[in-house]
Order: sequence, then structure tokens, then C-alpha cells
Amino acid sequence: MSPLVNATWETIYMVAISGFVAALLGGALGIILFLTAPKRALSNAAIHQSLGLIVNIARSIPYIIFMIALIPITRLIVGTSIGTLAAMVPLTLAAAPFYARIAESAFNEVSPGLIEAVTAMGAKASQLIWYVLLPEAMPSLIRGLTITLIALVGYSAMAGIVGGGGLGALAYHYGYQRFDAQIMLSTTAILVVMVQVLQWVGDYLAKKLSRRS
Amino acid sequence: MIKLQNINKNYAQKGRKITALQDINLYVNSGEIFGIIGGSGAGKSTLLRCVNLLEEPDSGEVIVDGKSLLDLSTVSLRDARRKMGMIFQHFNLIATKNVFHNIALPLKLTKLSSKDIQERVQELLELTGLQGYAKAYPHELSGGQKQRVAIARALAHEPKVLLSDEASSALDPQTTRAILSLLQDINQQLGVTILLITHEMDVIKQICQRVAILDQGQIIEQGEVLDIFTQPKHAVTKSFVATCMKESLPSDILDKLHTTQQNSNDHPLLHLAFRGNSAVEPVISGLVKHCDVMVNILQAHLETIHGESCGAMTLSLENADKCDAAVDYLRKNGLQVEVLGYVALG
Ligand SMILES: Nc1ncnc2c1ncn2[C@@H]1O[C@H](COP(=O)(O)OP(=O)(O)OP(=O)(O)O)[C@@H](O)[C@H]1O
Ligand SMILES: [Mg+2]
Repeated sequence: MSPLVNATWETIYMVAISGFVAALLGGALGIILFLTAPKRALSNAAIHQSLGLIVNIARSIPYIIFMIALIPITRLIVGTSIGTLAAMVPLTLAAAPFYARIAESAFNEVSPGLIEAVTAMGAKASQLIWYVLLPEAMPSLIRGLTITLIALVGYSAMAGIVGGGGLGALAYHYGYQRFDAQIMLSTTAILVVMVQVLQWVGDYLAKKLSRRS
Repeated sequence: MIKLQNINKNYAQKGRKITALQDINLYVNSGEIFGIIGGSGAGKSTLLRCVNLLEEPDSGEVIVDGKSLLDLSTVSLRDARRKMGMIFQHFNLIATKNVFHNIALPLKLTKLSSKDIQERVQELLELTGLQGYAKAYPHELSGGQKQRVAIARALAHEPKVLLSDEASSALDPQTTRAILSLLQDINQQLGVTILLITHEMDVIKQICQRVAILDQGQIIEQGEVLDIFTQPKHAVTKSFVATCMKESLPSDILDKLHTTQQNSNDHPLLHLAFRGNSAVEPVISGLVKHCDVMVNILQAHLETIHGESCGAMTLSLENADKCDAAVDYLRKNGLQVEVLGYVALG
């Protein structure tokens, strides 16, 4: 297999897995942030504020620093700080708080009247999440996931510099260190296509799921 | 069925205390349609939301179907809420789910089999006249149809009580009538007690048996709808009744109206309200003969409320000196009379 194909798969693999885990983690964080806000079903100022602070701190660190700072934790989790698997740890941990804020604002868009109607039906918090918040916020959640995945494509290229795999590493080793213009151009082209495809699919799904006209 | 006792509720807005409800006492009988009317910001929504504790009162008691809701555990409160349906001005449907799933939602919250849910939703679709719309999405429906979906959803668990927050306010007059008569059918056929709030006296007139008037967080008057219509006491109540009786006088007359007589040829303006069999026409002609006074009818309006007729009339008297005698005569004949003032006509 050519190094280009190999690197492309590595990037897809990194972005897909870390995006998936970040969506679950970040989505859960977003729900907790939403429900613990004042006047909500599980309002709890202490949890809301401390989670919010953690999310803000994580989001304000530039990814390149975040990645290096996280090396000890990465070693702890996957046993090494080099390679595709290792790169996924900081990717996931950076994307999760990013997605948490996106998810929180998607839930904030759900009509308060609808939430009230469902509370008046005697719904539990878990039922509110499952039957109302998730379906109603789904189009926004998907649009947010698209943004997150595209950001992850960019972050994953950075991971290449500190020993991660994927297109970033390829561009760094061949393009930057060996002045291979062709590899440089090809990786860029592949990244552009990847981002385009993500955007198309995201837009299509979001549109299909939103039933407002 | 619903008993509110000494309910108080305050909000803090930008550090300022806002009294939303003040010492509310209300009793809604089982099986009746009770209306609460009030202007914008009067506290109607807050009051209604206190009934199912969407809003917790600062003090007072909320008793529904014999249970004191403020004493219930979270779990029992959820059960109690299931026995109370609620509908809203803006329908509050799930936009991403079709009609079937919207109506099925409250049923899915309990451990009902999908077959039972299917059957119950079918019944509800028929009850609300929505056969054939199960697969439609909310954005494909008219306002009236959306409210029908919301009503079907509210009735899913066969509630004893239905709370309605301005359910017809976003609808045109014809659709409003259709939705109100659906609510009336539900009340009569299923025996559901309905507590509704509105800012329109027409809604009260059409379906309510009793009404309470809410103004600045306080109930200023309550009673049988017919009594309130024919003998409103409070100024706010009178203005609500007047909107419904289409009783605003032409502005040129209102401009010339004085509370005291300014000129010897000013005419007194009388407002009469009557109900039932105090047939008004013979009384007016009696007035002309008995008091020897010329009468000008400026405005008259007749209503039928719960099969009984009632109405209001504004008239001017030609001779101011006969005013007291005329008022006496009319009162003796069972009419409510109020001297609005004096006006120089012609
Ligand atoms: N959550 C809240 N926080 C602060 N103030 C509130 C809140 N809800 C209502 N109020 C205030 O309480 C008062 C009564 O409000 P409410 O919504 O009950 O009025 P309403 O009669 O339903 O009015 P409308 O006809 O406009 O719906 C208003 O002054 C309003 O500003
Ligand atoms: Mg209101």
C-alpha cells in the first residue's frame, strides 16, 4: 500500500474514533451542563459551574500545547505517546469539551414551551432527554458534530508532528523534511476533499432530520 | 376538583420584587369549565402553572382531586401530573416527530405495550377529528390541527383535569370556535374538569360556567358567567364585559361626555344591563309613558349565554330633570342601571 493511502486511512481512523468518543463524552457533558443550569430539571449550581469551568479551561488551551501537556496521560492510557492510537487520546480530550458547548447550545435551542409541556406530562429527566431533547436537538447536534470532525481533521494533522500517524505526519516527513512537493500537494488535496465530504454529509443529514419548514 | 388556597407567588426581577399572585383562593368544581380572565401580565399563566406545580407557589395550598400536591414526593407528583392534561397557546409539539408519535409521547412515559399505545392513539385521533393525519408532521398542519394534536396528547392518560393556557389565542375566530366546542365536547362527554385562562371575554362567554377575573395578581371578582355579564362590579370586569358586548360608544360622544351636568340642555347617558325575561322593550316604552321622558337608544346588544338571554343598552334621556325618576323606574323593573354621565347631543 502506498504511504499516501495508508496515511489517509490513518487520518480517517483517528478522526472517526476520536470524533465518536468525543461526541458521546461531549454530548453527555452538554446534557449535564444544560440540565444543571438554573431553573432546569436537575438545576445544581455547583455542578454546573465547576463543569463549565473545566470545559472553558480545556477549550482555551491551544491544541499544540494541549497535546504535549497530555503526553503523560496518553502514556498512562495507551502505554505509549507515539503512533495513531496515542494521537487519539489528546484528540478526543480536546474535542469533547468543544462538542460539549456545541451540544449545550443545541439543547438551549429546544423550545422551553415543549420542555414545559413534557414536564407537565410527568416525564422524568431521563425521559425528557430521550424523547425530547435528543430528537429536537438532533439537527443542531449533527451540524455541531460536522464542525467538530472538521476541526479534528485539522488537529489530527498537528498530531503528526509529535509522532502521530496520518496525513499530517506524511506531509511533515516527506513534504517538509524532504521537500517532496507532490506529497505535499496530494495530502492537501485529500484533506480538502475530506472536509468537503464531511460538510456535505453533515448538511444532508441535518436537513433530513429537521422537520421545520 | 381543584382547590387553591391563599396562594402567593413573587418573582425577583433585576433585584425588584414582583408580586405575580396575591392571596389567590379558587375552587373549581368537578366537571365544570372554569375560566380565568385577565389582561397581559395579570398573572394568569403563573396561576395555571401553580395548579400542576410547574411553578411552585411561595405559600398556600394546591389541592387537586383530594391530594395536596405540595406534600407529594417527586414520584407521586409525576403520577398526579399524568392525571392533568395541559395545552398551550403555541401548541408545544415536537417538530421532529409526526402526529402519531406526538400523541403517543405521554403514553410512552409509562409502561404501556406498543399495541395498547397504538390503540389509544387511534381513539384519540378519532376523538379530536384527526383521522388520517397520523403520519403528518406538525409543520404540515394548520394552527387548529396542531391544537387538536396537543389536545389529543393532553388527553392520552384520561386525565380528570385539563389546564388550558390561552389555547385559542393564536387561532382565527372560526378555528377558535371549533377548538372551544371540542373542549366543550370533551367536558361533557368525558367529564373532564377544565380550567382555562384567556384574555378574551368571548371565550368565557362561549364555554365557561364560572369565571374569575384576575387583575395585578389578585382575583377581583368571581362567579357565574351570566351574573358577571349582567352585574359586573369592578371596573376591570366591566371593561372586559364591554369588549364582548361591543359596547364602546362612538368617540365623538365619548369626547363630549362629562361626569357632571354642565349645561341645562345636557342629556343624561344611561347604561342598562338586563338578563332573562326582564324583556327590555316593554320596559323602555313603559319608561316613556310612565316618566314622560323622550328616550334615544344609542346602542344595544343582545347575547345568549347558556341558553339565557342577556344584553346591554346605552340610551340618552331628553330631559335631565327626569333622570332620577327614570333610573328608579328602570331599577324597579329589574334592570341594572348606571348613569354614565352627561353629554350635549346634536
Ligand atoms: N419566570 C419569571 N421570572 C420573573 N418574573 C416573572 C416570571 N414569570 C412571570 N413573571 C412576572 O409575573 C407577572 C405575571 O406573569 P404571567 O405570565 O403569569 O402573566 P399572564 O397573565 O399570563 O400574561 P400574558 O397574558 O401576557 O401571558 C408578570 O409581571 C411577569 O413579568
Ligand atoms: Mg400568559
